[in-house]
Amino acid sequence: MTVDTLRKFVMPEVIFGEGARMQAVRYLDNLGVAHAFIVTDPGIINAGWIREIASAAEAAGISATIFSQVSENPRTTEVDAGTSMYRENGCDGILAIGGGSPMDCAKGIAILSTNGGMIQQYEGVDQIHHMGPPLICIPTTAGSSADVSQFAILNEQEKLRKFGIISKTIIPDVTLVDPDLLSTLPEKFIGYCGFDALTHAIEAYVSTGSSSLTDLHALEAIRIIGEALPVAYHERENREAARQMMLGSLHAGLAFSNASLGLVHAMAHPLSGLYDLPHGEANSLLLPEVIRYNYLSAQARYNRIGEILGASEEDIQKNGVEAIIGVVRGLAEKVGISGSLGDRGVLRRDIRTLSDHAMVDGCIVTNPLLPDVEEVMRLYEAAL
Amino acid sequence: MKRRSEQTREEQLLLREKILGLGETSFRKSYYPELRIRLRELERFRFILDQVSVGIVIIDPRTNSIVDLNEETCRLLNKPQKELRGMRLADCLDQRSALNPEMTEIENGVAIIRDLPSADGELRTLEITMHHAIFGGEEYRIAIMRDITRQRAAEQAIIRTKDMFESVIRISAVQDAGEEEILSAALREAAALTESTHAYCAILSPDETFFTISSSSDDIPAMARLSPADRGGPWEEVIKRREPILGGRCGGICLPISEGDRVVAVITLRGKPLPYDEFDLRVATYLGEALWQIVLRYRAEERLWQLNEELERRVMERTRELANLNSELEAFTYSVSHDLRAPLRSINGFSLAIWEDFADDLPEDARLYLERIRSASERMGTLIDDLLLLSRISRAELRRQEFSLTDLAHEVIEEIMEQEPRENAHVEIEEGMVVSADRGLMRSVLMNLFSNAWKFTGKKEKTEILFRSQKNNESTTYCISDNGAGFDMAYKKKLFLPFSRLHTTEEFPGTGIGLATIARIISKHEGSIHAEGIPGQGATFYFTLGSKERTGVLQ
Amino acid sequence: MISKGTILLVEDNRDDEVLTLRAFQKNRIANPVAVVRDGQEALDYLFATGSYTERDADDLPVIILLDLKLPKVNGLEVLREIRNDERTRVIPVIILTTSIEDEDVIGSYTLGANSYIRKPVDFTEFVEAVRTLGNYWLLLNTNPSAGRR
Repeated sequence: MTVDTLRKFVMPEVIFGEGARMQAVRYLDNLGVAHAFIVTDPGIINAGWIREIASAAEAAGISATIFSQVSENPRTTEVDAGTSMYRENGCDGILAIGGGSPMDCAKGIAILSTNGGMIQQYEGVDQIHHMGPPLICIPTTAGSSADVSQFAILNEQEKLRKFGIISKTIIPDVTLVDPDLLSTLPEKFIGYCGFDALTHAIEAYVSTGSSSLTDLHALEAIRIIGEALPVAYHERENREAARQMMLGSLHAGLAFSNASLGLVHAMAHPLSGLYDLPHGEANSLLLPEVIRYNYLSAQARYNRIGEILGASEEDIQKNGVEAIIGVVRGLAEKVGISGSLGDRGVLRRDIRTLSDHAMVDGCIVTNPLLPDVEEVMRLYEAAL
Repeated sequence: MKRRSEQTREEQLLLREKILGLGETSFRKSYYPELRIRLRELERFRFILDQVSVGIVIIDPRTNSIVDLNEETCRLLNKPQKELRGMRLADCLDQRSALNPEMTEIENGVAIIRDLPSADGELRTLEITMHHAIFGGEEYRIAIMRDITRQRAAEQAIIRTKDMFESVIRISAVQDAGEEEILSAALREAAALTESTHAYCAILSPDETFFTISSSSDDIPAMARLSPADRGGPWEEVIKRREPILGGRCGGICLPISEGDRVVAVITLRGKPLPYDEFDLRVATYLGEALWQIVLRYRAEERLWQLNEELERRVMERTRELANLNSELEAFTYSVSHDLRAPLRSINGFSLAIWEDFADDLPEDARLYLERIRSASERMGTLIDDLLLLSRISRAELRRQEFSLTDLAHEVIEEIMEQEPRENAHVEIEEGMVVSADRGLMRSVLMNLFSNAWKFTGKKEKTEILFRSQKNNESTTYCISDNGAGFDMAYKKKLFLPFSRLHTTEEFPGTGIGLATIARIISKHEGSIHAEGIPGQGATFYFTLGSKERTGVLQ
Repeated sequence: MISKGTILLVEDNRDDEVLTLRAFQKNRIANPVAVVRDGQEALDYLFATGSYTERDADDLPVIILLDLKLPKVNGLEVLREIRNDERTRVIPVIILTTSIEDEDVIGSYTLGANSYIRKPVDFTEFVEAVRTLGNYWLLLNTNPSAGRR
């Protein structure tokens, strides 16, 4: 099949570095935006970043409407509210500032503003027919990679589920990666987000959609995160560590956005939907079991990951997958992640439901080994 | 399970393809296709806008200059797009139009711009409506222009047609005017309808040698109204070609008016500021036809009037002749009464004088002759008197009044009986007969009829006279019957002729004029009279007096 | 008492003149009779003008017998003159004519004729009429002033 031989690499225009955020006004202008719709969350507003950017935009003759009613897991209702506000104010471009939540919400608003309808109807892959308005992202976390990805994960609260929208049309036009903004993130989130980014890189690397282009970013992401995460976690004032995390997250994002992900994400999404479990946390708890399941299907690649994360050649030779799982777990523990899904309140009786959802999650198709539902159930159980 | 997993695998492969950005819509991560689609839509829309027959102009209200426009606008304003952009709309329109340069006057209203020259040289009429619009936060004015030239022309045609008919009606209503005045009025109407300064009508004489010219104005001296028909020029040409000339050498409209194959007149219109068009020709043709019909009608009326005059004149002549005859008759009557009687009197008087003075000297025969002379002269006197009476009655005016015929009959019969008493006479007169008639004349009638009855029953042992009435339908018939000498019905028609007698004077004296007089009187009453008789047994006279109703009407 | 005044006969027809005089004679009317031939002569006689200038104007006839159809001035004109003049207005005028036309009869009476006699064809009747006339106007109305109606 030719599909197997074709690979594609799409990424936004990226500016990385301290003060990159201040390029937002220039890009808004370049993209012909006269009235920017700023999607963010209250924390960012409190930090003062929005005021700074908004006033700069105003000074350049670009008006701004700020929307900050975004939950940790952005809800479809919030997308609707944002879309209404976007339209009412006659906005013609979106600026998303924050972690994955505001950016995913911003993507949802972008979709609805040009395509209309309910956001749920764009669930799945490649369901969007019209380009959205210009979208500029300024990430404040090093993890979600929503600023470079074709993914948007939204929470449909009424049905207690999360669903993914995957489309190249929602890859932002510009992402301004500014390490300055990272300092605001709470300690716990630095760990989760960092682990989220690491999972992205690992899954992208072992994905059946990987290519040398994605591999480059995936491996560089694993290397950078493995080194910088513990430092950034423990030394909040370490500017260089933060900078590295942002860079690692960016690489991870570029990798998975083009190579896609795997079973960890497929299984993590239902957990976040059912228990509102932070995405990074769910990833970190599922990652070891999935590595174990996948290992034989992508042994060399997992071994390479283990090596990068610090596992010795002998350890790997001797313990195989456990050596890999060991370094991963070790890293998790360094940033305060431990325990199991059961500790987080996940119930055995939900496993079937979770598994069914996982089986239809888009991420599953690029997993090196395609499981059936029983296998997924067993994996949940193992992580319980 | 395995089957299911295979199926899932198929789906999963498809899904994987999409995730990798190789799905159908995933290749569009560019604004350009989208922009191109939008652009194409705009171009398509632009194309549509360029096809519509309405000019659309977008104007910047701050500068009043044209921002954008469609193709129709270029056509309507007769300028290319490039030139029009940035111009002020008012400057694009003809300077003659009374459009406010600031365009504020027709804001949100409708402006009509007339006589705007177009590429093909024709004059257009534009209707412009102004609208407000806001897009992209900017305020604009949008002018919508429609070419209403045809619509105007159609409206104009209707108005002119209406004017034309009104003109025809006005012309037809011209009264108490001569042919020249009618023509002049009609030509003035034609000039007004076609905006001409001059209108002429040249009527060709029957022998086609000269024209009689009428004008809408009084600019032709009476002497110049006649013009030879063989001078050449448009008139002769029109007559030759038998079709109108529009423009060209005649400088206006020249059109023939025909009666059958013959051109009888030429109408000329001149002096319209703009060139004459087909419509003018149509108006002129129609009006020309109408004018000619009116002239013909006028001439017919004129002829009729002349005939009437002639007739009236003749009637008056005849009346005068009749009056003369009448007075001659009266003079004759007078002279008969006076002059004829005088010699009679002499004859009678001197015969008597001879008789009285020389009777003793005369032989018996001479005395007898004298007697005859006298009685003949007396009879002639009576005859003349009766003739005079008949003539007087003929001339007399009928004075109807209601009176009792019964009473009059009694009066008359008593008079007769007194003059000539007779025993054994039975006269019966019906009671209550009332008529509307001339009492004096009716007295003559009754006197005559009763006298006759009395006279002709004189030789009977017993006189029986009966006067009664018979009502039938609307009229009443009166009958006077007697048991006298009667007459042969073979002569009944001669009965009422003057001087006709059925009996000798010796038998019954009389002039033979009485019944003629009665017939005249009855006839004057619009009645009728006839008689029936059996010789030796009696006669009955029937007469009517015309119905009362009819008399009433006549009065 | 019978007036012995003059009777003026205005008559152009000589036959009638003779017959009239005969009728007078038959009726024993012995008054002098002046005969004139036309209307003008009648007026001249009465007013002593023309050929009668030498006549005594005061010697007026006691009665005038006037024919209507006269040469020159007709009878009605003569009657009008007679009635218009103070001197003659009281003289009885008897119209003696052949006409029985209404306008003559009415005209005569309107102009003041005292009597109107139609000359009959039968002379006997005429004599009778003259007799009645003579009796009336010559015997009963001898006084001219009493002759006015």
